[in-house]
Amino acid sequence: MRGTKSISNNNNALYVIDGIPMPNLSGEQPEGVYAGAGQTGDGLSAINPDDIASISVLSGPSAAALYGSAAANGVVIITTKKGSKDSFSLNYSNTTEFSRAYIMPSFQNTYGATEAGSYQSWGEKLATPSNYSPRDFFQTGINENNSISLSSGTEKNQIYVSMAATNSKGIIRNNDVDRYNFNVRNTTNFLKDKMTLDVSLSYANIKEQNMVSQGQYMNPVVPIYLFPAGDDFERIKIYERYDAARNLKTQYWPYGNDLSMQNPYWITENQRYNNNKNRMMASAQLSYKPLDWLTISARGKIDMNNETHERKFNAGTLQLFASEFGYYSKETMVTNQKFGEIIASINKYFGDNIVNLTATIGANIEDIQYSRDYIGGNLNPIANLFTFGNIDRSHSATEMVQEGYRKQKQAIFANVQVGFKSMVYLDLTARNDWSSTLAFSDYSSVFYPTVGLSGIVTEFIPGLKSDVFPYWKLRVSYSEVGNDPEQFLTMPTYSVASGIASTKTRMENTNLQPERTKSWEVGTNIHFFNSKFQIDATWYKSSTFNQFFESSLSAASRWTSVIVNAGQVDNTGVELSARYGDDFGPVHWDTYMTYSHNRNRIVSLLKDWYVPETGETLNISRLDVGGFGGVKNILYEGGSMSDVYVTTLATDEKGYLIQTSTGNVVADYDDEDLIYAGDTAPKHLLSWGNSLSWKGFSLNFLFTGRLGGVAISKTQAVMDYYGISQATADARDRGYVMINGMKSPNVKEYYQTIGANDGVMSMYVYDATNIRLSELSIGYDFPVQNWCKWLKGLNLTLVGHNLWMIYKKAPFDPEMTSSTGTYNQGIDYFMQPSTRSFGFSVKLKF
Amino acid sequence: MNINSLIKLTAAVSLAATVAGCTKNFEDFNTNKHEATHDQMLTDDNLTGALFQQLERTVILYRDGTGTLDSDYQVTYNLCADIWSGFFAPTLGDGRNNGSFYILDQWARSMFVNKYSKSMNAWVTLSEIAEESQLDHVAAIADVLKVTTMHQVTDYYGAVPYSKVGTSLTPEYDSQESIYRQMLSELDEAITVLSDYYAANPAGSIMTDFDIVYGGNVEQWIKFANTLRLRLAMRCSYADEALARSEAEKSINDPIGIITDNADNAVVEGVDHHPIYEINVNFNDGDCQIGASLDCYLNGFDDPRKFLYAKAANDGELHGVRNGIDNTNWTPYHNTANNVSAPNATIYDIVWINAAEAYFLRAEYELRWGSVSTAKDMYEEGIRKSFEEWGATGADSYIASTRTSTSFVDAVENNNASAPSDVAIAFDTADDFETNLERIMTQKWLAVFPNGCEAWAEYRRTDYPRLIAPVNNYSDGVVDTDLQIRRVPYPISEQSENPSGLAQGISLLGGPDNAGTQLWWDKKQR
Repeated sequence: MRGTKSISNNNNALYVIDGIPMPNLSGEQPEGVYAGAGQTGDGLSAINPDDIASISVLSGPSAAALYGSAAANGVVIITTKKGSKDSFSLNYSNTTEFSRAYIMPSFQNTYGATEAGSYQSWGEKLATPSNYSPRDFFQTGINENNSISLSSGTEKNQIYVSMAATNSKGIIRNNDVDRYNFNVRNTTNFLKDKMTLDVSLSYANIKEQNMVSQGQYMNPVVPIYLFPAGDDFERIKIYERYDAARNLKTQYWPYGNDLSMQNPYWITENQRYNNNKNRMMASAQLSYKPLDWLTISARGKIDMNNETHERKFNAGTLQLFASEFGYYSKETMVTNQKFGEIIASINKYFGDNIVNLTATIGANIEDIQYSRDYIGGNLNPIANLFTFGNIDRSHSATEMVQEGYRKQKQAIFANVQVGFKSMVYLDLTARNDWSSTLAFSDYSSVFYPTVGLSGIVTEFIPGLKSDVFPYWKLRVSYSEVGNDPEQFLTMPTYSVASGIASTKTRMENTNLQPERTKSWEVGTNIHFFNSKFQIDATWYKSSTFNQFFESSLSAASRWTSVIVNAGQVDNTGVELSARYGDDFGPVHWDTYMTYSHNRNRIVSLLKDWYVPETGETLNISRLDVGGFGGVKNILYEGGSMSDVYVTTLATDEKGYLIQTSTGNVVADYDDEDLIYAGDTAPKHLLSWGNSLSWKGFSLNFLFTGRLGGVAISKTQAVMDYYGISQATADARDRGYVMINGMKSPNVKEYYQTIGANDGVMSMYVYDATNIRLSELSIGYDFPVQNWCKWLKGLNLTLVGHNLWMIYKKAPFDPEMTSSTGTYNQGIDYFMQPSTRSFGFSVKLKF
Repeated sequence: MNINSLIKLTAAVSLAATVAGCTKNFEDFNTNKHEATHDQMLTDDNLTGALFQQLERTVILYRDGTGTLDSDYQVTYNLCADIWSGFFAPTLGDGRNNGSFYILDQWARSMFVNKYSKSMNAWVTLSEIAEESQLDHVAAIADVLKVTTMHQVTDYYGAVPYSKVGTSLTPEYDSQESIYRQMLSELDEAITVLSDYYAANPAGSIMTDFDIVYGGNVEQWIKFANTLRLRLAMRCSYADEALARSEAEKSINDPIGIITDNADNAVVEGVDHHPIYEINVNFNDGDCQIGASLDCYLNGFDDPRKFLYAKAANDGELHGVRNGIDNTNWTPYHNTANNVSAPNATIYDIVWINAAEAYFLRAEYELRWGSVSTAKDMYEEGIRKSFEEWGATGADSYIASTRTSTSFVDAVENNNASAPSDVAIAFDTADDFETNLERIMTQKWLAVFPNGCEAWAEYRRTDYPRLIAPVNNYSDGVVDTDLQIRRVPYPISEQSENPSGLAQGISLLGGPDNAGTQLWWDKKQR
């Protein structure tokens, strides 16, 4: 939200469930050419969406006073359902959606393999075009959700109970996710309703299998996309064959190991990644209202996530990944968050309701313990016996890793709002955090304040307020957030692995201080025509200083990097939204548009950084942070954090492409000659949503658009290299490619130069602009209550997602991402195709 | 959990929260329980031992379980020195890479990055500790190890940071000449310290529990240091003959002397296999194969070590691959196709220096400044030691053989080449200096396999053995195809991370920062 602020830390929004921040449970994100298999969903994916009553978003950092420094990137506030008073309802719903592979690159089917057994399609023109289509490999995905909830209560006690089962199959065989949720919440009022006790307990079990996001290894998309035109795909469907000498079935793959490819069916059937998660959350809140204007509440929560990841590769898997007997690994990760808070809230009017004071003061403590145990290695001697006892312990690839941390944060905070005649409001907040990760440093705690002022213009300019112009609000705020470093940085240690202690290549720097974000925000809300038409506009600017980041050092320093407190990143942007709702006879129409624009700028990196040990002052104005294979994320002062640099074609001093003796182009791999490809972040984001209702029927549709930014397809490059892209067939049909304005007949040589491993990635940079119909639904509320006494409602809705891509330039869906991290965005390397889905939902209310 | 206990929990947690600022456990929380603190490292000599062993484990990088990977060996050695020494050829990528003299920074930088951040990192701290604790003998071996590892670095790049490492985050570069002079004097000093220690404690050993090479045997360390000094001395033979000769004599005349027996070889046992095996077998079905030059000599000499170094291809013969092939489809050069030879899977040991090398160094010494007939004896003994080390038989008939290298025939495509040399194995004292030098260098080259780092340095110094040029030279005229690569360009990251040091380094090179510039010791008249 509102741009990436932190060079090294998490830039994702914080989720707050019923007032309590959720721990960040996102696993490691894939980086580089190879990784991407065995992914897992984040912590939020354990929540049953049917339990959510409402979601609201606080984009700016001003929420940080309440939720702590993790809120600097914005907060998503989720409120879950409670039981209802004096009524009973039982809801059942089924949502079933079918998805198909949608956006895929264009493949040729007219030129065959270079030679038998080759994976390259640079051979002769086929007599008849091949009927193999990579699309055929993908199955129809199904996502089925069944949920049942019960809500009941009296004036004194309300209860809500829900259960849900979500079973889904991806578009690739054996990519399955199953989730089971159970949730119970009870709210009781006592002491003449002065006291409320709210207790909730929820449990989720999630099983994930073969979650692949991208990458070269163990990704069936690679051999599927590159499968040579004209070869018999049916043949490789028998992916394992009996090996009489071994008395077991091993992989059938007659194509060698280019790109470490394997039989795609072997990957989906015999290389299994299984994740199993158990998540338990228990919370209780006790509120006491001794006076009309005073509420004191205390709450506590335990959030425990226990997850195991297993990898089982059968005997017959490529030897890079397993021994001839197979491979097995298992890791167990346990995250345990404990949270406690006590708050006193005041809401009081003074002097004939002229002045209103609301205030909150509180203190909280958050304690997070995390541990990870991992054992993995090649099997020996029993094939396909996946257990620790069968792991070859003498092999150096066998790993035993144990890691973990405990961190604790304590905070006191206060928030005061003074309102004057319901016209002008002044907001002040302050928070002081004590963080265990600052232990041993000179800074034991961090203080940060915010101040905001807002006024209702229509209230204090007499005569301005009318039916046409009923409301105009102006607001301005300033906030600061302090952020603590990662754990352990202030206490250097030696790593111990495989029974060997060794030094780190990262220089110690225990002289750390908190990172700080300062931001300004100005906004207005205007209503017209009896508030049927509303406009909301915000301008913001934030600067993050003293960033913790890992700066590279010359290796000659005997370190490769050091964590420093330096640098400044600014984000400036605008958010606009407009909403109009009105009745046109029996038809009600709501329409809304949103627009946002953010500009990210790196003001400085390592600037005049003083090193007390050597007395030096260092300046580093470049930081390599991500990317792979001809694409690099490089941070420069003056640039943005999503800038991408790519390899390009070699040119002479006059700017002409350098050509070889055969007339081919020349790739320039030199790191010094990388060219700026663009910024992968969007310039503008737009959406337009509509909802129409008429006599029980409802129609909703949402268009979304993203303008600007670049996307890079390494998939397309590799497809060109292998001669399987439509572009290579077109060029061959045409008989030439254009080089320096001349026709060059060496089509293969050309594509194998630009599409090569590190290749000429400047040829694969696309405009990421896209506009689509992202959601369409048509529903009808059957008037069942007229037909049947015990049925209170029946709704049937047909829904579609990602139905129509109206405009797009890239050969993949640029909104797909393989990583929720800060870098490596906008780069496609054999991601699964994006999907288009249709489905229905049935909701029954008893 | 029932409601009562939840209430109690809430009350307890709330109470804890009200005492905000109670941070006495924070230091405990913020200490990593799965790593060793400095205090823990001070038990049982672990700190000294770990640093000492880290120096040993990084002389030649291998997958030791601490995070160094076989791919570190691959980019540091295999895709640089190993292929330029003629031992191996790269069978990956699209042909525009180090094999065709198109230097890729991501490979070229690896020696620089790994040696300073792993080896020198350990050495700086270890030498500080040794000085504080007055462990002169530990410091002496640490210095020997530093020289063992850092001569590889200067032999790659030329002028590099050496004397100032550890005092600055952006250290100055030293000229190669001054590095060599400093390394030689460090070895001098170390040999003196160790010899004194050995004389006083003949049964004593140093870092016994941590030394993975000699198990703390001081006599073996002295022999190793002498042999290393002989290696470095001979490296200076064309740049400063007087220095070379006097330093070589110090080692040869040392009372304990140089390595004469394979039992004294400096060897680290690879955990599973030599990294070459992993690179060949597990990286894309063969990221490297045996090089064409090695093919010509092993086949031409009908060398009994042939199938100890390499596996037979599908026709039962040894076939190498040329550097610099413009290939787009490596499958026929990979292991599954087995048209060409992979390195032998049974190579486990990582050898820094062996007895054979010591004999060939002495043979060269004798040829230059002593008796040619002694040179012949040393040459033949070197061959015998190498055969003994590899478990090969037939050394005597091999020594007498007049066979010469063969021409190269590409088993897959048509990248053939004529025989690199017509010099026979049998040493003839009547032959001219260059012919006999070529013999010595060629046999030394065969004997140090697969240590491409040393082989490539000696090739550049002496031009021997004669190596087959790459099929394509994509250096843009920077590298002469016949002279081949002369050095490794500096890491590009130095431009932003140590600009003043780099500028000084380039000025000390005496030529541009590219792969064609000759190093200080590369002074043979051509």
